[in-house]
Amino acid sequence: MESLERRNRILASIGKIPAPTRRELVRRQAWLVISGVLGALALFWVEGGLRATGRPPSLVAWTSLGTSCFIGVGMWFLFTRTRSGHRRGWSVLALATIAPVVAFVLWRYGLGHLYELASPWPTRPGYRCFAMSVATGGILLFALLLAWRGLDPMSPAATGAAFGAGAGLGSALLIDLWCPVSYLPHLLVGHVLPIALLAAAGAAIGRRMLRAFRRGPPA
Amino acid sequence: MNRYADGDASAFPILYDAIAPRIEGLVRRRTRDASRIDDIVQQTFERIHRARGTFIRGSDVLSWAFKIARNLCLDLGAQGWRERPAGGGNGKDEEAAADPIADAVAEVVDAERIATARETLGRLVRAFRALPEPQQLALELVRVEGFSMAVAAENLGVTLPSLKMSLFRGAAALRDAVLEAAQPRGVRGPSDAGKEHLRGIT
Repeated sequence: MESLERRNRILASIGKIPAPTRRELVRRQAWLVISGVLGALALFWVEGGLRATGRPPSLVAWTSLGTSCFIGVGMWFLFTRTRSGHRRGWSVLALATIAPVVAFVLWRYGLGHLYELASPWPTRPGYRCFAMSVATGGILLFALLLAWRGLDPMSPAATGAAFGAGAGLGSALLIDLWCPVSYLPHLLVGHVLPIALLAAAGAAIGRRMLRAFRRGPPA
Repeated sequence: MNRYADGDASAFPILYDAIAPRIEGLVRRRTRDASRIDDIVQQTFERIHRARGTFIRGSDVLSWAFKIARNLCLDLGAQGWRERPAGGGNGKDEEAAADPIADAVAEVVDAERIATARETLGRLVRAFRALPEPQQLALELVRVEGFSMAVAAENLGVTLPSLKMSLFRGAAALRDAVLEAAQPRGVRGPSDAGKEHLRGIT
């Protein structure tokens, strides 16, 4: 009897709560994510876009190709979910962020060495790249968080961290086309640190912004 | 759930009837407060409803719903199997007597066996509550709810080897707790009869 009452009450309450269907949600999310990507690309373009600045075209091509591969694999793990529909565990998310970053730094630094372009460059400590990475990654992260706002009742912090890390990796790919410096401290400050910061920011904001809205206690 | 996620409202009652008893069971193991159980079950369905568009076609709806319900239990203060009854009772007989399994046993066995069963059940419940939370959750999902190890690992956000280790350690701790009390002092190791009797625990 009691459970029948509850059933009726829940069915009635569900009818009053607006919830997007899968198709509506996909459309809304696609718009927001595409807007975020376009915003990041616009900023990248305004700041100068693809810049070889003394780098041979083959070096630009090789670094971008390698970086795309590493980042693509990382993003696949960060943005997809498991077969049972859950976000991947923290350890997998951490590995999916750290492994591409390490591979990217080694690849970039190694290729820089090969082309003799990894020598110390004290006038370029990486602050400009840092600012550019945070700005482009921030736009992407904001778009992702907005697209998933209030839609993750299961693991909002992990989803936010995955989005932050994914946005950071995406921005690293853009900055890789923009920045000619392969000096290791520069890479760590300007290219790697923003990814960690965006992942942490994503986790902190996602914990609040992505979880389903809580209603008050029952009367 | 697929039909419901696509916007077919008539699929919701079917979904409700299929998973509500399982969700209620999960919540009931965490709190005995009827109004809180009601509230958590209702909020779980409301969250499922709000997030229906994010449901991936073909994924496990029960595992999804369990995770939502468990998060809600944590949010709303139903602290796992450790929570005590509202009356403040903490006697071992009281704990065992309030359990439906113990009641079911009581109907079919004689008084002496009832006492033994209650004592064993009480010991098991106490041993279970003393386990670390990851072990409790692993045992609950795999041994009580019947999820596969892979799905349970995804649900808990841990790796498969880590889940297996939690299960193994949890089951071993439960077995030891029961055997320890069943053995007379000074006797080391479980008897063959005891091992046979407790095989089902692992």
